[in-house]
Amino acid sequence: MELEEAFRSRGRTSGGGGGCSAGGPDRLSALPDCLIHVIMSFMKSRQAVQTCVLSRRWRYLWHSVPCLDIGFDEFKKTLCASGDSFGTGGNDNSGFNDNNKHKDKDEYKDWENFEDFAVNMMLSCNIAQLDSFRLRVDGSRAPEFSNRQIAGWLRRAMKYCTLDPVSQRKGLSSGYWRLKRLHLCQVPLDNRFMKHVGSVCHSLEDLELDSCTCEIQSITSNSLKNLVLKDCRWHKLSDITSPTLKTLVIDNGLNGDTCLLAILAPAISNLHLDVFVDDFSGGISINKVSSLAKASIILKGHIYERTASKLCGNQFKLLCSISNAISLVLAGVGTTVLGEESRFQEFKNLRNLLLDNCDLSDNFRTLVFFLKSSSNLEKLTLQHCMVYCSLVFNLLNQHSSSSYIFLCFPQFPKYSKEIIKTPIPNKTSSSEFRGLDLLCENLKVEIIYGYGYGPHLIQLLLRISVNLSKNNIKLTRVK
Amino acid sequence: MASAGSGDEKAAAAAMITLISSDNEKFEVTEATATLSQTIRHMIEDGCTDGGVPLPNVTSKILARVIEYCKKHATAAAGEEGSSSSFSDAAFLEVDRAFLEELEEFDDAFLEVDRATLFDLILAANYLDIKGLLNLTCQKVADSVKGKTPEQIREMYNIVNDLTPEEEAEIRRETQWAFE
Repeated sequence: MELEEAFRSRGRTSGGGGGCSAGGPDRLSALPDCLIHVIMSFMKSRQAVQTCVLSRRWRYLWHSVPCLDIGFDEFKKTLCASGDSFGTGGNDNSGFNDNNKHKDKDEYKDWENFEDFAVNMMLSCNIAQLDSFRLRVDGSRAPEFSNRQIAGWLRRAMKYCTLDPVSQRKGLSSGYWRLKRLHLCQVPLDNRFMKHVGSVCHSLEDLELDSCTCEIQSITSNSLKNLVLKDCRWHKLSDITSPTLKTLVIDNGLNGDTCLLAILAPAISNLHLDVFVDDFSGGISINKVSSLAKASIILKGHIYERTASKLCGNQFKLLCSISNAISLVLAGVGTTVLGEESRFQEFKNLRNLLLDNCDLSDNFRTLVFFLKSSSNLEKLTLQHCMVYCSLVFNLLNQHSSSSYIFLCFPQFPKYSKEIIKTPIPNKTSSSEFRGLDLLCENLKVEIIYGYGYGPHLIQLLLRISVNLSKNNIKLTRVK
Repeated sequence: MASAGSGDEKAAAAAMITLISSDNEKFEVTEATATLSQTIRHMIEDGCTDGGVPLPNVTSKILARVIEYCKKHATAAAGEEGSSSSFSDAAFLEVDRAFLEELEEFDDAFLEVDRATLFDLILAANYLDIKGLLNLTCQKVADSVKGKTPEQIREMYNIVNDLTPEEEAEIRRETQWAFE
């Protein structure tokens, strides 16, 4: 009966409506379903669902939206609103403690709303059929028990969401998920989850884990193209294995138990590794990558050499594994990065090298290493690098007590006393800088500095290298 | 020019394609620009672009804008390819960054259109299968309703509410969890 009524009223509006409505035609509703779904995919899921009351046309459209974006942050505003309305209720006589209690209750109410929404959403929209799924629990507002609950949602989704309804009824997850993109933020994950991803998500191309707590030992996938691990806390992550992976980003985070992380991804073309050496104290190893276009290795804290982390000190092996890179950013490393012995490793593809915040006080040994090994280098950038050595001082004929050049600000007071004691040879043999003359005339050099003696380094480089053309040097001062 | 077969790669690189709008206006574009459209790419691959490609669903006004978008993004795509293979310019990192910013500015300016044009662009992007343009324009619509109530959205887009109050109440009951 309801249905009949619905049809009648539809007939009424479409008969009278058409293009006659006051504000012009309704171009949005006139779009085909697939295009409305594209638009919905750019909405947060909550708003996408709310479109169901726009008109009859919209009632069921959200059910088949291919992208879900569920976030706790969408429920924060509700808290304030509902908090206000609750507050005006029976709160007049309540003291401070009562108020607090009330706040707690509201906070849970907020979480309950979110839980309600997430569970309903995951139930209504079969994850197995989605293109993209984002679940974000950001903010510190989630209650303590939230971790357990979210883990439960994922477990149920893994168990019951399938493309094959028969096995779904039996409670077996046999079918594959269509999912291409999965983005989880502040979600607790365990090995089971990762195994599920490996065995069921055969189409998964993008996986992004942001601030997740992961009891995952191994990330293995035969379909992943992009993997972004940002600020995740790993229990004992020991390997990332994927023959298809193109982009790997490890941005901070922490790997517990001094566990070595081995990366086996031969097809990587873009590698970004930016960690504190102490947080991955078991070290990181990478298989030799042949197709590397860009690599950024940022080892924060390496310069201080204070810890027992395996990412401290000699990282020659790590550098060898990325020696096919076309563009390389090496940042934060100290003078020990190449190890004790003199080394050679060809970087035959390297065109663009950026040394950022590196300590070059080893008579430019690190720099010379790269100049020697990369015959195709086109551009060298030294950004906020630090150079201390007495010979530099001597070369520049600077008769002052501050005989070290800072291209960057980090203070190394431990040097200052030694410097004064360092005997300065009268004759400068440039043999200490042998290798710097490899700076060839076609090489573009840029020196970026904030404080200190950027210009002096240029003088130095020009003196040492007869081949270096002044026209190819650029000096940039940044604040 | 038109006789250059698809086998002749050098000729194809510089080949021009003629696109014909619904109101019979002709647009000459490079193949690199045209192939941002998967629809046209397939036509080129099938060798049926001789004598121009008629696009009966796209007016000249919209086609001009679509071509403007494709030209800009075709050079961007070429730049990207260049940076991963040839690296002729060593300063490609900066070039990348500057170019991306420029592209973003272009996109922002490109979206400064009235609503009717925006929907025409969505339909054209869909018909021509230009993924970047489709996402860009659909994102614009999604952004425009962000944080708006259903009532506000109806008003914005002239959506006639054909639900009876009872039906609307029922739907709200069913999906109460999304409105709380």
